Amino acid sequence: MMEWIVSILLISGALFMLVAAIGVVKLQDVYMRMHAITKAASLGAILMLAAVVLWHPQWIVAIEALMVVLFVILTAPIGAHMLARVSHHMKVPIGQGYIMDELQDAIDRNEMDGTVSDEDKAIDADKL
Amino acid sequence: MLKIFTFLLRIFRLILFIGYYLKELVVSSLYVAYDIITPKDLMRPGFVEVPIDLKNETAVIALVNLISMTPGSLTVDMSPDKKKIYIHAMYLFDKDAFIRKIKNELEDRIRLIFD
Amino acid sequence: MIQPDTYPVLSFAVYFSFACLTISLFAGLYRLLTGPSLPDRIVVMDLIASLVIGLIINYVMLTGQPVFLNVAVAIALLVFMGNIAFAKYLKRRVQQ
Repeated sequence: MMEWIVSILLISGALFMLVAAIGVVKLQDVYMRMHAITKAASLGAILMLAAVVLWHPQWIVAIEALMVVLFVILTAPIGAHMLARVSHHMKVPIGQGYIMDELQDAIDRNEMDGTVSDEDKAIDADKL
Repeated sequence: MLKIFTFLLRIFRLILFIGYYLKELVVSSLYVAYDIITPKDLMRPGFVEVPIDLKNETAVIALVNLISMTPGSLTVDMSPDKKKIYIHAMYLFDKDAFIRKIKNELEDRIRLIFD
Repeated sequence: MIQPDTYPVLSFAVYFSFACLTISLFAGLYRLLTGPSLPDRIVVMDLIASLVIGLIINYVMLTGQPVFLNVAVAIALLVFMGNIAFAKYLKRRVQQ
């Protein structure tokens, strides 16, 4: 019985990762690829870790799996948020079918001036 | 006594919120996965401006990260006075309904827990 | 160690997920080579880290050695650092 549950968890996790990869190939711009990766891939990793914990019921395995899940859940949205923000600053071209871009409207109205911190302005970009 | 009671109430609401959030995560993940697998696109993407009125910074961070973890929406930027956030949404069939959903469901629950 | 004659279903599941993850790695490689902009390639780095975590988990299931989960912990931490570093670098390059 346990074998079946673990198998189903493993296969569904792998299928979620496969969906994320197909989405990366198929979707049309950076933001939508980020949608596919942050959620589908982390959900796949969580499902597969659950399979490992069920198959090896020891404390050390459970704690390590919990650490991986916590790192993935805490860091994936932050990384995606920073990358999306930088992509919008870089004016990466957006795909077709967009119905509104209110962020660009706000930038055009000069409402987003305080976004760049003084610390970043002080650093000389030539030295990087 | 009252302090202990409010603390317990907060823990209870946190557990309820985790249940609600997991349900939302699974449903919208399956929706996005279905849309990726089938060749016909249902997408209607766009950047939306959503006003928020949370006082606590922890609450703001929790809201932003939870929005980013829900499939179909991704927080892109925040206005300097921390009053508006800009969300990239995949399924914007109805803008008012989208904003109402974020404000009424996610933000109200987070305010009850953190503020 | 999982043998096909002791655990037939589980060994099928492990090999099936190995196949899925390998196909996903090739899909990521395609986007890495043809990605139109730099953020596309960085996003793929995130995907490849998740896929490697999945491969390690499959390897743990195949060999029955949970020690390898330490590698997954290290990768989950390192890829976040890489993401943030790339984002900071791009931000400063834009302001130039």
